Amino acid sequence: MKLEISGVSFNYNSRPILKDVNIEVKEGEIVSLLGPNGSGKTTLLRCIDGMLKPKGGTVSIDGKDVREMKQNELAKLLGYVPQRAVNVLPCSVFDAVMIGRRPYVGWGSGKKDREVVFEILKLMGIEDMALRSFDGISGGEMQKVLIAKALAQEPAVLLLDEPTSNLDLRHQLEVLKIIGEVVKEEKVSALMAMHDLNLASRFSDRIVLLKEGKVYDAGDPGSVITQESIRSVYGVEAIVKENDGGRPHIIPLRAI
Amino acid sequence: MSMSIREIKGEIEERYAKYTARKFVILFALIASLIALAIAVTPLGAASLSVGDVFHSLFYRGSSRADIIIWQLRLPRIAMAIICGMGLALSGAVVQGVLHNPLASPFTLGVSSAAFFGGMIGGAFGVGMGLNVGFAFFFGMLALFLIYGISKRRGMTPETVILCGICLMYLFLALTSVAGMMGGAIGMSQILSGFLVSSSWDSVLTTFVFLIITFPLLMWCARDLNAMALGDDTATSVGINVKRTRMISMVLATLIVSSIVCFTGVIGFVCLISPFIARMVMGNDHRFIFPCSALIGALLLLGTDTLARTAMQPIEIPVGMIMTIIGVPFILYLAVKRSGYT
Repeated sequence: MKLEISGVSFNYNSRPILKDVNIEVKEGEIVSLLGPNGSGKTTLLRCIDGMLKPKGGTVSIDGKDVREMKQNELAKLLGYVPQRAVNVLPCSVFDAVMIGRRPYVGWGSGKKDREVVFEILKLMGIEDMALRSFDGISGGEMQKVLIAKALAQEPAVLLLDEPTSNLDLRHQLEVLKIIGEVVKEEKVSALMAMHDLNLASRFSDRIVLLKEGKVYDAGDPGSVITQESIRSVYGVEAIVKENDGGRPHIIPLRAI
Repeated sequence: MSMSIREIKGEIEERYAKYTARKFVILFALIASLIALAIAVTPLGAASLSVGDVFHSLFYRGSSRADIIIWQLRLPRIAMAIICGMGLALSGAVVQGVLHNPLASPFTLGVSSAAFFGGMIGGAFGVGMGLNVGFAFFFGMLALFLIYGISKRRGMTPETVILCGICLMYLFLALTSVAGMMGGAIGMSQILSGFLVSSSWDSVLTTFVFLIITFPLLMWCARDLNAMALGDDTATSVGINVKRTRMISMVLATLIVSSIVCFTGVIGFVCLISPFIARMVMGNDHRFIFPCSALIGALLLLGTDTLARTAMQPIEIPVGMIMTIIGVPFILYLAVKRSGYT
């Protein structure tokens, strides 16, 4: 199923945040949303998952307008991974992932739900910490649990808000690799807001570059991430090289 | 050496089953303890009775002195202690779950004392218990919304929220005292610290009705409160109407507290300590925390009330005072322990 964002605009106190944004994410594709702070990345994710109501335009999954879906119906199609967990009252990792089954079950959880949760824990490689307390695990492991929770919803579309921003080098690579595998295996369409240009260009199929609420450029990493676009969007002078995989790799020099 | 996937899966399933079974075992153990404690404390009191008297009276109710003492004095009071303990502890668990604040409770947020003030205002009109509870509910909600608004402000830590709550608590206790003096009430100190002395079957029935109606509804919210512990965004994304669940739970918790304080005054701490202990033994699943907290609350209040009526016979110590004497060290312990890792 594909995610289509067409003509979405959003105002905050009559100040335009998003202006006529058009993005399409195909099945099994990872699209990264890049842009400086305040360019509208998070606002856009919020407009997609229904936390914010866009002023204009439509968001649809497989041709169906998300605005016309019931909240529970949408929860079966769309998984959201927050930047970090706000968890003051901790539960076990297994129960945290089980929360993702909420759209499917009533008050209790059945055998099938436990099966699904187990499969996902295994897919994410965190099955051995199933009964550990959620607040007793590392930031990287928490991020994996949050992704696992979103996957437990068996979604067609995955939204991720800076999934690597709180992680160390190793976990950044690990988490993005897992997202990549899951997207291909489960035929999910993933849209993720990112800050790290190099990680984004390495792990995404396509890049959407936002500038002041508008799509500045969109396409494969090589065509979008250029010296010129980084100067124009981020106001940064940078050298763009090519990494082993033929993807652009930038070395920032100075702010202009 | 490496286990097959099927084996690992079997092992986790088994461990998860055990983990869940353990919670049920704890609940049953608590129910058994509560029944045992209720039976054990019935003979205790100013008029000495034996366990035999109690059983005889329970099954062959006559009109002997023992029967009258048991049916008119002991049993309603024990029932009241159990129901109030359950209700207060349950509402504490709900408030903690909604605000994600382990120090929150209707007592420490000023909801109990606001409700008590309301109940007293209602009582001044002398229309009846229904109106009292109504007024109590109105003022309780007022306090809760005020606190909720404060807690939503930027930069509020759980501790500052509690500080504001305790200020509210003192405000309403002072207002209650002043109102009581104007109305010529005596024995204010006893009223203000909570009492179960004049429990009648009528008051038992009223509080029981409120508890029995709200409990299943709260259990229905419990699952969604679990998800809300991971943040409003996460909860919304799995299909939960966060605002509605929060509103329903807060209204129900306040309703329980209102129905209780009208009869007993402000019995503090039981609504703070019980959910805390429940969370320690049950983890963060509200479907287990709610019943567990209620049972611990019942045990705690029944125990302290027995102490209240027997420790200094024939003088009756207000149960709220004993609860405070037990509760304060507990809070201090919590404060010290929390400061260790924040």
